[in-house]
This record gives sequence, C-alpha cells and structure tokens, in this order.
Amino acid sequence: MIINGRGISPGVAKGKIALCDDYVSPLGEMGKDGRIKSGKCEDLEFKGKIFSFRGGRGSTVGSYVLLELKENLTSPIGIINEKAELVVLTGAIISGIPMIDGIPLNILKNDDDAIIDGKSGRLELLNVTQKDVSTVYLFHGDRLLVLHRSDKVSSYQNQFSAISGHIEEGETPEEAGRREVLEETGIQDIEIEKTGKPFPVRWENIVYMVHPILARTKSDKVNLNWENQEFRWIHIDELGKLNTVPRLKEALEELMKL
Amino acid sequence: MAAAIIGKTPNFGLHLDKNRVADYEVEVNGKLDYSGAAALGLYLGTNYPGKIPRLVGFNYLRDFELKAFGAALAASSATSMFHVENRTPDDTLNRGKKFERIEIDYNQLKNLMEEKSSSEKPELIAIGCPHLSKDEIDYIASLVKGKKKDKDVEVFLFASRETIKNSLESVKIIEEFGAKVFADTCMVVAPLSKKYHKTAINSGKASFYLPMKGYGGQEIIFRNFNDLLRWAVVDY
Repeated sequence: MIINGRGISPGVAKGKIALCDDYVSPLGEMGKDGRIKSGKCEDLEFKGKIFSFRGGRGSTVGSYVLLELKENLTSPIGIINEKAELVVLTGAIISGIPMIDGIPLNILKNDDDAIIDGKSGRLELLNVTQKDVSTVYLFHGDRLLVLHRSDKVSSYQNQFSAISGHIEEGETPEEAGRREVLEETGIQDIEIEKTGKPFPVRWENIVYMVHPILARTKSDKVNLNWENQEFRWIHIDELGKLNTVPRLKEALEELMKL
Repeated sequence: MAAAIIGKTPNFGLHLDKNRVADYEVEVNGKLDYSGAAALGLYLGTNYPGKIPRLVGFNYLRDFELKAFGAALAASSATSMFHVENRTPDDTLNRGKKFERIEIDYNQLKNLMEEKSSSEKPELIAIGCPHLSKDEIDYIASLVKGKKKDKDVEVFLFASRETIKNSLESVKIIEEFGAKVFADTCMVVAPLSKKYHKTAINSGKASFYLPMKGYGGQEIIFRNFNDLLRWAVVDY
C-alpha cells in the first residue's frame, strides 16, 4: 500500500521498519551500537532500518548524535515520525538520512518492508495491502447496535464491532454501508446522518481504511447472517466494557463531535 | 545561527504567534521549590508531550526555579516553551482564552522524585543542570561558607565561564569548602559515569538523562538542594 505523509529530509530509503510507539531522545536513548538504550523500546535495533517513532524529544545535542551514528555506520537508513520536531529533523538533514512525517504509526509493524521518499513524503509498504471498509454505527433511539463477530469471519474473530464490510469496486462508502446493514442485520430503513474522516487500522498484512458512518433506524428487529453470532442494542457507555475491534469507541466519539 | 547569518527566520513553528498560544493550564496544590518545579517539568513533559503549558498561580517561583522547570520539560518532551500567567511576555497571547485546566497533587511530584531515587549514599553531588546563575552560586556559597566537606562525597558545580568570572568571591568560598566548579561543560555530556555510579542531583533534566543506559546507567538521588547538602557537609 501507499500512503502519503510529508517530506522532511530528501532521499529514498528502502528497508525494514523498526517501530517504537513512543517519543525518543536521540541523546541518551539512541545508542552507538544502533539500539535503543532505555524506555519502552529498550533493545530495539534501529541500525540499518527505517526507524519509526512518534517524534523526537530532549537535547538539541540529539541532532549531532544522529550525525555521529551515521559516521559510525550504526544510524537508521530512514526515519518516519508521526510529527517531526526540530531535533530529529535537523539531525536527519545534516546526516543525509531520508525522513518523512505525518504517518500514523498504527499502520506499521516491525519488519515491514518499506520504501520512503523524503522529498515527496511517500511511504510504500511492500508487504501490506489496503482495503477500504465501511463501518456503520446504527442507532435506534439512544441505543447502538453492536455485533459479536463469528469465528468464521476473516478478521477480528469473536470481537464486538459495528456493522462493517468491504467497499466493493464502484461503490461509495454510503452504498457499501447500506448494503452491509441489509446483509448483516436485514434492516432496510436506515437514514445516514453523517460520515466521518476515514482512518487506518492494521490487521496482519492488511491496512483497513475505515469509513465511519452514523445512521439511524426505526426498526430494532435484527436478523443476523453467518458473519455474526450475537447482537446487542447497547447504551454507548457500555462500549468501553466490551472486547471490541480497534478504535470502535474512539471513532464513534469523533463522529459524534462532528 | 543560520537565521542570524542570512537575516531571515523560517515562517513556521514557534516563530509564529498562533503557534505560541498555550495548549492547557496547570495548577498545583502546594508550594514548589527548585526540585519540585523540576519534577513538575518532568511530569508535564512525560504526560503532555509537545503541548505548551500555562502555569497558573506560580508567580512565587524565582527565575532560576522556572529555568529548572523549563529544562526538565524540554528534556522529557519536545515542548520548547511555557507560559507563566501574568509574568512571561507572551502570556498576552493567552488573554481571554479558555484552556483545559490540569490540577496536580503536590504529593504526586514528591512521589515522582522518590521513584527515581536510590536510597544509597551518593558518591557525587552534581549541581548545575541547567547551568547555575550568579544568584545560585552566591546562595550555595552562603550555605557552605566555613564548613567542611565530607571526604567520601564529591561536590561538582557547573556554570558558564562568564558566570564564574562574575562570582569569583563565591567560587573561592565554595572551593575552600572542597567542592569543584566546572566552566562551560555539562554533567549530562561530561563522562561522570566513568568514575561515579551514584550521583545525587536536584535537577529534573539530569534525572531524565543520567539513569539512561546510554550514559552508563547512573543510580540517582533526586532531592532538593538542602537535602543533598546533608551528605556533603560535616556537621550540617
């Protein structure tokens, strides 16, 4: 799959992802042996990898640490940040290490095969495919429909989700949403209230680009198909207590704020 | 430096007023000393990385205490500025705006310092991260004047050459006591851990760096300055 972030330090790097879901201070935390020395990502090897972390922190000496690592042949070959700051950015530029930002780390896994272009901000993940899905949050009055996924579906088996499914070729997210509601619940009379910004979720070697949709129905009669084993009409406060697919609650909260 | 050479500054980030507005406000239900202010910086840097805080009710803090706060904040995060209500110049940017207010319990900060601290006696007491000002050097001199240093503990102070030159009298008192004053270096980048493994500090910034394995993984004791002096001064 291809995702476009922002170009920071020019050049192209091709290699494996080394992922650290934290902020990193190059001074003190990035060791000369090419490994992280402390914190959540202790022992992670960044040498020769595309080092992906939330962003930099700490001393401005950190920029020179990157240069020293480069001279020492133990630097990353590329850098991905969620949001770049000046210490790492300067270090990447003076060391000639390609760097991009604006990439959500949750689409990455350690050892993914990646190519980054530090000029255009493009990231290509060679082992990952992208699939677009619609997720419909269906309300009946103040109750939200959640479905308990069966063990026969291809992802997130036995977890709770909203009504979700692939967007077929030529379909809009709304059309796919209506079709999925009908297939998975038998409900026809839905009214789409709003749609949110698509967000990515990683599952094995797939990134699902989720298109969230808020819809209402007057019907509370549900006929499940094979994809789900149980349904519940719940109050949204109960969402936090269920074992749900990733970001189900957060995405609904964002959608309701719109 | 590049901006000074070419006479232009980049049109982004903290160079723009709109990016200098606070992101949240902070209150603490107790009075902070130097180390407490440093611990607050660590706490905010760790929990609100990259967000600009506005300190409310901290007008009693002295400049060098705010310096300790800012250094700890910037070490533990990428936050490059903070406001103090009705005190720092850019606080005018925050007037009339509403912010989320974080209330921090004083004991939380005390606990944070304790968690980082070893209970062992230090081999070295290192003060001056960030560098000491003249006021601080004079204050330290007043505390150790005529006293004798415990021979088992080294005391190192760090300041700029300029500050040391302007504080010669106090530096002399401190050196007579038995401490060393270093110019233009920093305890974080100096190779302390080649000789010392248990270092006592009053600095949040140093408490962030010194224990890192990349620095030889020092055991630290993070306390306020008066507590540290108890180890260093005979008959304190």
